[in-house]
Amino acid sequence: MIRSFCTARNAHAAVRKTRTAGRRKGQTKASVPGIAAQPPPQSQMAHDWIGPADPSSNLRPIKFRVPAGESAAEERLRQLRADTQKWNQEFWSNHNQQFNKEKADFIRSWLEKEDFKSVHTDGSKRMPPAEDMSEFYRTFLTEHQHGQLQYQREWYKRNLYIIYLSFRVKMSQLVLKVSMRR
Amino acid sequence: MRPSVFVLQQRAGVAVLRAVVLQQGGRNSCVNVWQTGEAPARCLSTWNNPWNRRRQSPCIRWYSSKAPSSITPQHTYKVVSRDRAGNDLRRILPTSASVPASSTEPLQGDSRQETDNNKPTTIAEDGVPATGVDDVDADPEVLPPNQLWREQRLDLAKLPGYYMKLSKIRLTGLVVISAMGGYYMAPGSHDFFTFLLAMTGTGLTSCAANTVNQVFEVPFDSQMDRTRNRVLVRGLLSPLHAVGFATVAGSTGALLLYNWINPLTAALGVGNLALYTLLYTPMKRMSIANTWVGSVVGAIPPLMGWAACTGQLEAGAWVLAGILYSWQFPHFNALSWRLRPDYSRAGYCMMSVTNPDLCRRVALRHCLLITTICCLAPFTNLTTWAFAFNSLPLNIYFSYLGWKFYEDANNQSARRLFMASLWHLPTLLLCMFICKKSLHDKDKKDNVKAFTDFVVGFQPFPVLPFHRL
Repeated sequence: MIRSFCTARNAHAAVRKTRTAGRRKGQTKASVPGIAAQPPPQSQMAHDWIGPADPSSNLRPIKFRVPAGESAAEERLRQLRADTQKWNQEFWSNHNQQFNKEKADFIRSWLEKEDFKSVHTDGSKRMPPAEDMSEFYRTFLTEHQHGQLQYQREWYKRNLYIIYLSFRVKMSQLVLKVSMRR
Repeated sequence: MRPSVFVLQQRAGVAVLRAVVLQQGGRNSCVNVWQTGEAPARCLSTWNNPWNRRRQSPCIRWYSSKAPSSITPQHTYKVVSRDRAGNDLRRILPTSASVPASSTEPLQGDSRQETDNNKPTTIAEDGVPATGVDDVDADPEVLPPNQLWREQRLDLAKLPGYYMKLSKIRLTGLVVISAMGGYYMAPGSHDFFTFLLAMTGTGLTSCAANTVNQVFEVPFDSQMDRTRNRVLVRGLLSPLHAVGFATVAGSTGALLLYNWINPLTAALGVGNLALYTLLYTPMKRMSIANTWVGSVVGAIPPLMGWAACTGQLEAGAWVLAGILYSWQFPHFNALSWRLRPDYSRAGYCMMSVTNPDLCRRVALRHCLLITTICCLAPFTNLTTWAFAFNSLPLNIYFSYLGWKFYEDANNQSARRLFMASLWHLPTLLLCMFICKKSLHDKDKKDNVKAFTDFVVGFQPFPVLPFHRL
């Protein structure tokens, strides 16, 4: 009865306060410039837009802006960035899918070996202890290390080339701006 | 009422978790809640009135079943966001303990969601909107799951903050402190401006090294929980901008050291930068030997400080570097123990994943090595003998925790060792600074001579009573 009295009073106070907070909060997230639920159409884009992390690859997609008077170098850079983004997305979503699959298989085989039910008495899922899981982590890492090294080599090359190209594009843009001012 | 998924947060930076509220009872009754994360207990009561209103979320009080009184709430969580879960709850229920509760995965409800439910609502317990509600660059743990797109326009006002995050300013600060230690312990003359310039140069090269590291680790950082909110992962700066910052900082630091300190310090700084960016960063994914390389990287800053003071590296400098080298192992091995799932998935080769026995052995070995080095430090005339005795309790306790980690490695012993390493090093350095030899030079005694005199002159009796036999 005491609990109901306290929570009822607090609930009432909270309701009153949140009501005024809602009215005061005229500026919600969507009306802040530069942030939106979806990127605007190409014609309205002033810069590139970066989105939330993809659930399978954990990478954030970038929607590239295609400016009107795009030079060849700028287009090359944009294509390279888009291509690298796609390649990264494919690699990591495959890799994470593989990880989850192998982890589920490992847990299933562990449960079978231990002959346990998959759910505890209190309803939470049963997991192998950290020692057994570390066995899985070790085998997974060693299995996939070769692929990871190949990916790393390729990623370093691409990243360096992207940085080099963006440097050149930036320099040409600066030169253009200076010459336009003159 | 349809089941909803609430993201709850206890306070900024702590315990973000998700609660799926399955059924709702009367005004003050229990609800069944599934939780992901580290919530202590089930929710026993919640407020129902606000649920009928849009854009208002309740606060959920959590009661521990072990509480002395079930009326007293143990923890109060505030609702950070809320989504309609639809009927497919299996996707949201916890599948494994290693799924981070604070991940940025967007929850996908059904497509009939009203737009205002997509907007994250942030209402604190007393009705005042939580800080940072309109600021996407605030502490990410205060933000709701990030389901929004952001324009990649550079915000100049936030640039200093971005630079500090890029350069991992806390780590750089610790590096500079260890360089300060090296400068102070060196037997040369201390000049304030030289000191300031040396520390600035060291700090700048450290900033550059950390920035380049982050530029190359973007896809790997996005996989791991600890690093997924870094500046480049979130696209707050472009890689070119970060590389430009690193170039400016690194070259300024190196030139500063070369011009106003001495070439040895500059060479050490540039060498450290190269070692970290060109050797350590790629090696993290190639072999477990990266830990040893990283320890050398951590041991060089005190050498830089020492060289800035005297211009050369005497024996004492190597003692200091040795202590910092050995310290890196228990520190890092304990830290990496708890991150094994993340390292395994992201592809990092760390001892804790590939060879856990080696990990524990090496941590203990280097704890004991620190103790030995500190006991032998007076031989180099770096400190007085008092240091060997004063540092013993500290080192013995640290070695004890290392032993506990070796004997029974679990999250708890790893955490204790890691936390101890954080205060062990500053305390040890403070002890060393107090026992610096030149402070106690009134006897003008050489420590080595003192020791050899002691050994030679030590006799059990003033005169051995052989004549009595």
